[in-house]
Amino acid sequence: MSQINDISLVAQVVVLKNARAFDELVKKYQSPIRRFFLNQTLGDSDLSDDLAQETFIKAYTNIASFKNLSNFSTWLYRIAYNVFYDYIRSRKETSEIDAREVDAMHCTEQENIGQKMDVYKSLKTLKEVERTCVTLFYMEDVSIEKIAGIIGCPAGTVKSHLSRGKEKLATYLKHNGYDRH
Amino acid sequence: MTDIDDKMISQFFQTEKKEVKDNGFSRRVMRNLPDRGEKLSNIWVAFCSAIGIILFFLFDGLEALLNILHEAFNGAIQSGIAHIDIKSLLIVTIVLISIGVKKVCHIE
Repeated sequence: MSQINDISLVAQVVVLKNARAFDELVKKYQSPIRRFFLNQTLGDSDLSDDLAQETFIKAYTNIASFKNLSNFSTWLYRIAYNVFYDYIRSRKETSEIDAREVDAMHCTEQENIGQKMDVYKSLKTLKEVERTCVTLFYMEDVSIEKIAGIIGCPAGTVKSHLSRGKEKLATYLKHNGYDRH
Repeated sequence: MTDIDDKMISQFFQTEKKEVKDNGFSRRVMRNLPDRGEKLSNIWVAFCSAIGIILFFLFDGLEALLNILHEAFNGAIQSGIAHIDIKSLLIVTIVLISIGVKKVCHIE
């Protein structure tokens, strides 16, 4: 039902240039997309909002290319993933600082330190691609096949990233007493 | 990697999964859509055109225009149609016809 509603909204944007229909899509998906970026940037809310905004603008300008071969959310996550990796690439080009150091910087910049801190600390132990796979799988409930479509690699590779990510997370959580909860 | 670990990770993320409040984000996105500037400029053009048309009729623009045309026509006749060079007029007519034909062919 939700998928049909999305298609109807997309059609209204493409055919009638109905900005209100796009507004509905933004309102519906702003939370998962911003959460996705918050997890990728380890809690940097300003950066996450900028990247999320870029994602929605790209989605709007390319909405005619949405062929309904996947869910609208999967298509949107794919754009978000590309936006994030474009950002990572540009950051690596402009800065010699090691990625992990930048991650650590972002970690201290975050606003809502506290209960979220553990999530970001745990995600910091993962490589970027592992972080993407793990957060999509565990937090956004995206299937392995869809993650493969989002990051553009075979399902087997996603499983490997997930497996390595899970091992690191399990170690982190056990060290922090989560196995006793 | 055990099922218990898997469950522990799943539980950890599910409990930390929170809705991100909009807080004006959607409005900001909608304000920054590329098409919006174009739309605003179209609205502005339409508004200015409407004002122009209203002012045109309000100040008897049609009558003024007809007067100007009438005066120009009379002036041309009075200044002596004899001074018009027939050769030049013919060349201008041929050039205009050829441009018109080219345009029509291009459209087709």
